[in-house]
This record gives sequence, structure tokens and C-alpha cells, in this order.
Amino acid sequence: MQKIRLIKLAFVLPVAFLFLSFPLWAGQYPVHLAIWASLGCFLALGTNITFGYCGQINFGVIFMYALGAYSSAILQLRLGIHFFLALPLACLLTTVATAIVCIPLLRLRGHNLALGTFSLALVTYTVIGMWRNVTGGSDGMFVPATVIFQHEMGDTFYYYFILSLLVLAFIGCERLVSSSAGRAMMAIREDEVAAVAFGINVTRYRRLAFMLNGLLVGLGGVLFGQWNEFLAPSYFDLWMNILIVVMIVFGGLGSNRGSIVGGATIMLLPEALAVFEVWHVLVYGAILLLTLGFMPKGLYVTLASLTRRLRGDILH
Amino acid sequence: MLAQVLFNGISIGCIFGIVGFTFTVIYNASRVINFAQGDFLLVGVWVASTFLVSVRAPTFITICLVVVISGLVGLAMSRFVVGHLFQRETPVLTIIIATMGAAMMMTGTVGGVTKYDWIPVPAVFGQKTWHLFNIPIGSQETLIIVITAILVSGYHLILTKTTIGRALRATAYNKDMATLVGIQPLRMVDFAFVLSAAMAGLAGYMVGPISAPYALMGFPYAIKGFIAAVLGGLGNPYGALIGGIFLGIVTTFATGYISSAAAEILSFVLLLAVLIVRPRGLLGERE
Repeated sequence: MQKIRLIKLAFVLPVAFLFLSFPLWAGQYPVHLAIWASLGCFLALGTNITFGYCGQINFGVIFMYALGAYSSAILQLRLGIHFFLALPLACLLTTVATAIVCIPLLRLRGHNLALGTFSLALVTYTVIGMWRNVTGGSDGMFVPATVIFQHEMGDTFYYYFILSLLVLAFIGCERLVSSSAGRAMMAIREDEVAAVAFGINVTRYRRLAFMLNGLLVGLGGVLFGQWNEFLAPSYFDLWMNILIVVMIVFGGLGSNRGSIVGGATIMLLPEALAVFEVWHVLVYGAILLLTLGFMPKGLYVTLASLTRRLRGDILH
Repeated sequence: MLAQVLFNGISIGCIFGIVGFTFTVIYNASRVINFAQGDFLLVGVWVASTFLVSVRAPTFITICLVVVISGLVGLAMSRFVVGHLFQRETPVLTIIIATMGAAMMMTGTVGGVTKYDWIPVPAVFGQKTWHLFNIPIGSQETLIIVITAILVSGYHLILTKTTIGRALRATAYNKDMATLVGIQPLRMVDFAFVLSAAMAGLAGYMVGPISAPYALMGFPYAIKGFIAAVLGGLGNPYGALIGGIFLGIVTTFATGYISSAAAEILSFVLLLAVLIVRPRGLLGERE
């Protein structure tokens, strides 16, 4: 046992060091990509909670994403609140707003829930585009740069800030899995009727799943807006909405690590495919199809179970 | 003027309706929300353009080619994507995302070849405008309505008069029982896909001359078709057709009298209204 732990540490420590020192030796573009990937991880982690753990369909992720981004931006721009205060406020707002939309939405199940959450996404996109006074409409709005001690923060700051928050979020999600709330959600996913029979308050845990989804995705939105320093409806269109769902399916439904893999991959894929120029859409589709065709459980989940079997693990 | 707008609205509504119709057919047979439905239209447009412009094929041959090739694309998708994943017992959500991958491959292929430029499709009767009771009606728009009627009646005939049609109806009604009487569900999914793809492909060729076809046109049509299906009641193809026509009329009026942006917003508002007021749609059954 001790030897295995030492070997694992021997691998983990250098990797951790690489991650921590990344901005110091990597160029500007890789750091940019790393931040971009981390944001995707937030979106995937959050959405995985409703889809993967609780088995609920949430086709309205863009609502939480946009709400987080825009509320943080508005708090800073129009109310002059500093970013470090705007961040928790925006997250709180997004979580509460999600709880409020849950009131009508949780009456729905199955494909009706899909339709209901989808229309939420439509409304979000429409409202952002039309509400010029507040959101700047289709022209977009600028987000003030983060200022600490009279210095404007750049990519290096965002790298460390977002990465540390991501680590916290990941730990939180892992704790959720083994918590009673997480087990309740998974019970609901497996068989809602049986869950009720066991005394689980289904509505409460479904709402909790959605709220956690809103918290994480909203946080992702806040961070995105802050780093990008610009918000526009095009970032929150139906395409992005679907892309977030693709992230968790691609990485592995119901797996936090799968969400990290899926989130990072899907966010980085367009950049990586730029070399194909005109053919990038075809290659994207081919990658998506081939991955799902051969690994329907998701990229990470399939590979993880494969390596487990190769190592001869019986327990997992 | 009003009558002309109405006519054009019905015409484009037929296209939305066909997308919704075919979308519902696939949903009934497989419970899969087919994101690639709009791209079947694209395939039809592109095949038509290739044969009409480069090879100067006669219209009738082109129509046959469009139907056959679209149908084959649908079959390929059913066999290699949907059916393959069905056999692995993957959750429906994964299959839906896989259809998105297929949609992207179709869009990407056409996009790569055309470099996302406009796809020229000559109208069947040229630029002729006919007149009915002093109302100018476009020849292509009329053709769309006629073709829609033919396609839907043909579908109805296939479903009622042929054995395989009856098998499809049985599967849509109760898949497990249909399996018990010897109907292979995967073959039904194939059939649904082939029918839907062929119909959508022809619809694409029909709408090509009066819209501005290019590689990315698929997704907006898929959304419109989806809204049409919900308007009509998810599960009833004829309802989806009517929903599509209704949607077409509303959006054409909005585009004409307000703006095209308003038309988009209006279609979303319509979807919301249906979901709140009457979730089962116009002709849907109670859940």
C-alpha cells in the first residue's frame, strides 16, 4: 500500500508543479488556452450534476451561464462594485434565480422538462439581445478589468484564480458524490418512484441539483465575462447551449473527471481544428461521432474503465 | 399584398412543416430528437445544385437523384449512428448528441466543398410568377405547396396501404408489442430515417431557389421544424405539418410587417406560449 502511494505521489507532484508554474514558462497562447479550457470545465462540472448525477434534462444551461456573466458585469459596470464582491453576489443571484425558475420547471419531467428548459434558453438569448439598456443588446457590453491595488490583472492572474476555483469546485463535486445529497440524487436518477418509497424528497433534491448546476455554471459565466472583458449575445446562443451538453456526454455522464475532460476538450477543439480551415466542421463532427460511436459512455469513462480492467482491478 | 404574404407564409410553412413532420416520424420510431433533420434539407439542396448546375441534368432526374441520395444518407445515419448506438443500449441523450455529430459532418462536408459560399439552385419553372385572382403567386412557392401535399399523401398511403407502413405505425403505437409480433425495431428506425431524409431532401431542393442556401442553413431549419413539431403536438406528424404552416404564416407576416429579427423572436415566443398554455400542442395526445 505505502509503495503504491509513493509511486502515485511521484507522478502527481511533478504534474502539479507543472500546472502551478505553467504561466511562468509557457507562452501567452497556451495560458490563454488553459484558461479557456478551465472555463469549459466549470460549465461541464455544473451541468453534470443535473444530467449525470440527478438524471434531469437541462437544456437551458445558457440561462445560468448568461445570468452569471451579465449580472457580474452589470454589478461592476453600473453599480461600481468591485469584482471580488460582484463574484459572490452574481453567483448567489444566479443560484437564487435558478431556484425560482425551478418552481414551474420541476413540475415537468422527461421530454417536457427538456422542452421547458429549452424554452428558458430561448428566452435568455432573446432577452439578452433585446434589453439594450441593461445588457447592451447585440452590441454587447464591456466588463471592467479586475483591478487589485491599482494594477489591472492579466492572463496570469486569471489562470491562477480560475484554476484554484476549479480545484475547489472539483473537490466540492467529488464530496457531493459521496454525500447523502449526492446519493439521493443518484437514487432519483435510477428510479424516481423507488426514491420516493425510500423517503427521499425528490423535488427538494432535484431543485438542489439545478441550483448547484446554476452555481457552478454561473460562476463559470462570471469568470468568463471577467476574463474576456466583453459580453455579447453571440457567446450565449443556442449553439453554446448544446455545446455544454455535448461536453458532459463526450467526457462521460455522471463522472466529474469525465466532465473535466469533456469540458476542456470541447472548449479547445475549435482552436485545434483551425488547421483544417474549411473542413473544420466536418472534422469536428467526425470526432464527435467516432468518439460517441466507439465510446458511448464518454471518452474518460470508457478509458478509465479500460485501464482499470487492464490493471486487473476488481473493485473500483 | 396581404394575400401574397399569406401565400408565401403557407409556402415556407410547408417547408417548416415537412421538417417537423419528418422529425416527428423519427421521434415516434426511435424516441430520438434528430438534430440532423435540417441538414437533410441541406443534402437535398446540394445534390440538386451539383446535378443541375454542373451536369445540367433534367429536373425530373434531379428530383429522383435528390430523393434517392438523401434517403441513402438517412439510411447511413440510421445504420451507422443511431442503430449502432441503440444496440449498445446507450442512453437517448448520447444518441441525440450523436445526431448532432452527424449533422456537423453533413454541414462540414458541404461547407468544405462549397467553402461556405452560396449554393445556386435554379427554380423548377424559372422565375415565372403566375397570377391567381390578380394575386401574384410565385411558381416555386406553388410547387412547394403541391409537393408537400403529394409527399404527405404519399406518406399516408404508405402507412395505411403497405405492410411496412403498418409495421411503422405499430412501432410508433407500442414498440414492445410490435417487437412481440415480429417487427424488428431497428428496421423500423431505418425505414423512418430513410423516409424522413428523402422527404426532407426533396423539401430542401424545393426551398433552395427561394431561400439563400449555404452550408449552415441546416440548423435554423431544424429549430423551426422542432418548434413546428411542438406546436402541433410532439408525436403527431400531421400536427407538426400544421404547426409548421402556422409558424410559416406567422413568421412571414412578422418579417414583412416588422422585421426578420422580430420573426425569430416571435417563433420563440410562440414555442413558449404553447409550452405554457397547451403543452401537448394543437393535435397532441394527453401525456
